[in-house]
Amino acid sequence: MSTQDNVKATLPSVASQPDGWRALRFVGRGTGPLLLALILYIAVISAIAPAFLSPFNIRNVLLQVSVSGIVSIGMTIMIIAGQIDLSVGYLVSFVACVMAFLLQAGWPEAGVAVIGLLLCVAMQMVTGFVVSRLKVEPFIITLGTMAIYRGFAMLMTKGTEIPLDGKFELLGRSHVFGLPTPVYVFVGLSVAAWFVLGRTVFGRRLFAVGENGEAAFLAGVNVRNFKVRVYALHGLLAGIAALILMSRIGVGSPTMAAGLELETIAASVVGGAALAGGRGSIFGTFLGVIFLGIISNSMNIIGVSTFWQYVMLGSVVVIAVILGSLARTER
Amino acid sequence: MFNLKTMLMATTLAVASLGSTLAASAKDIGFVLAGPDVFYATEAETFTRLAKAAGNTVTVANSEYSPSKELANVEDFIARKVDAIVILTSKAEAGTEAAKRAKEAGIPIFFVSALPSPGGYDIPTGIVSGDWVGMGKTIGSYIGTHQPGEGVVLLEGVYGQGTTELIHQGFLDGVAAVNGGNKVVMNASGNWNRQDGLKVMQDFLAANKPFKVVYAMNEEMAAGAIQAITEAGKLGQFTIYSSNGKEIGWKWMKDGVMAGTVANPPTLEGDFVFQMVQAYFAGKPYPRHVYNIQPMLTKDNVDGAVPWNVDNYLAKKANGSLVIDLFAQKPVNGMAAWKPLGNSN
Repeated sequence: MSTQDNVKATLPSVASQPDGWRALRFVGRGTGPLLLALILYIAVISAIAPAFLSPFNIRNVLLQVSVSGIVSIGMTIMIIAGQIDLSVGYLVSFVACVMAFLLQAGWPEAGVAVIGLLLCVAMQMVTGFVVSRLKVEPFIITLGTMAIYRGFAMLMTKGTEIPLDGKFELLGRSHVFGLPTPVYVFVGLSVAAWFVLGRTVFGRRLFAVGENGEAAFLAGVNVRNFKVRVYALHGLLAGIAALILMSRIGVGSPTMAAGLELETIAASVVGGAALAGGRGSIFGTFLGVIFLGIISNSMNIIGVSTFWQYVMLGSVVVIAVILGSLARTER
Repeated sequence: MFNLKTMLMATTLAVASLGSTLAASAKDIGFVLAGPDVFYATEAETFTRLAKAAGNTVTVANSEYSPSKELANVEDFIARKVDAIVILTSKAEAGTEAAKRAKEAGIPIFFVSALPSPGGYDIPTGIVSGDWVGMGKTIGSYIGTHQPGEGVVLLEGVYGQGTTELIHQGFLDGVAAVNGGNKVVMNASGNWNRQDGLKVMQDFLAANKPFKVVYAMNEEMAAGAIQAITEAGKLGQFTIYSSNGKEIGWKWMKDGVMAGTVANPPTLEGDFVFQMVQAYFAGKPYPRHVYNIQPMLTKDNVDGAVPWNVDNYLAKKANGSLVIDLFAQKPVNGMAAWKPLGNSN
């Protein structure tokens, strides 16, 4: 998985290097330090609270990070393409409310799921179209769409929850071989995204567009349409997250995913993505999601104040950004 | 013909006069809401429907939990020269500052649900609030009596608002008052919502500490806790309590999933503040500060609980099965101070 760290730069050179050197390079750069930091953190916390490493808690953490993990995959793809989406939290909330409303009105579950996914994809495609055609800052546009989704969700629900009354429980609450289904979805999508980014033309173009859109255009990539596809893919992942979250919580609520945008941007950045675009990895994001999830979980288990959780989470993000910046300067 | 003409003129004059009287008595009220929350939304809806039925106009402004937006909303209403402002503040200090501005502008301001800062207690024209310490005491003494000595975990609200801190303080006082000897094994914020309640309860279960009682400070977090306990296959191994007395909790109590809750219906609070504002407009004396009515609910008395659902509440009120009288409430003459709180072991 390490080869995906900056695909363009590493693929040719890594292939020609001996195995031991490659291992050292992995530890020294890319996701290596993050993996080491994660292992160290787990070791320290499990020494303080042995219950932290219990199978029950490992399952907990994986389940807790599944939704943000799925959205983080989409956010990483967006960031690599030089884009950002501040609206995703309220998009997930809004679409979950729409789906909950339709379920409550007696619509069939499969139909509602398809509508939810299409809605997410369509809304993200519109945003992508505006951003790519008008060359406006995604930061500003998605700030606006965030307010729009939030407003619609509030208008629809009047600030209250829409209960599912036991419907649509399979996706969020079922288990396969003792593990919750959302965990399989998260891991499966991570593997698929890792493959797409590291082994397909789409992946190569993604890094190229993010690194230098003009050069990508001159190389024959239709950058504008490509960006719309990136937004659509991100929308699809947000839709899957909305389905799982709604199923898991058992309600549609206008604020159920509020703050998800910051969580997912943080996970991507901790995982090595550069907000300037052209850099990032799915494996790094996977580790970032797990790391941030573990911090919150471990603090609750050892009983540290909520306020310290904020400090810890913020510190991890800041340190990751500094290290990423230093690594780039070094190169 | 003359008589008919005279009668028509007299009728026209009477209608015009009645219209102008109604116009003069119709008041313009601004309602500043802390943020998008079920409790707050229910309170505003109850107030609005009662006030509109009495011929007033009500404009609801949402502050989105931003102190600056809250102040701006109050200033907007002052600029509009409304007849009264009702504020549900998310931050005591910011609310107090807003109340000062309204008072300086000569506009009466009423606090509902949340309190001003202790230093600004005398500023509002009226206050209807939850008795947070009392709520904690009620549940604490009930648990201390029914599960003495058992370890308790607390799923708490947002820290820093004061509400959570006062309930926590009251809970400890309640346990101590009945010599319950219950220890708070773990406590953490579930941010008043279901998904964080679920997550925190999962973490509590994973910590494997000795507790038998779960107290969630509202039904949303209790829903998350019940889900976590059910998914862990441990339903029935813990005694679960909550606060607020929402309809979903009634069902849990009847089904034996939850042992009890302390009622705190926002419908009732919205009604009280409406009666207070009406009394002010009418120039009638009224108790300046009252608490919401917060009894302990269990499966034995839940059928008599006050509904959160506004339609059901107003229907019960209309058919006389619910008599809510502000003037029958005991006046409150002060407010408790609170200390900051965080997780503990």
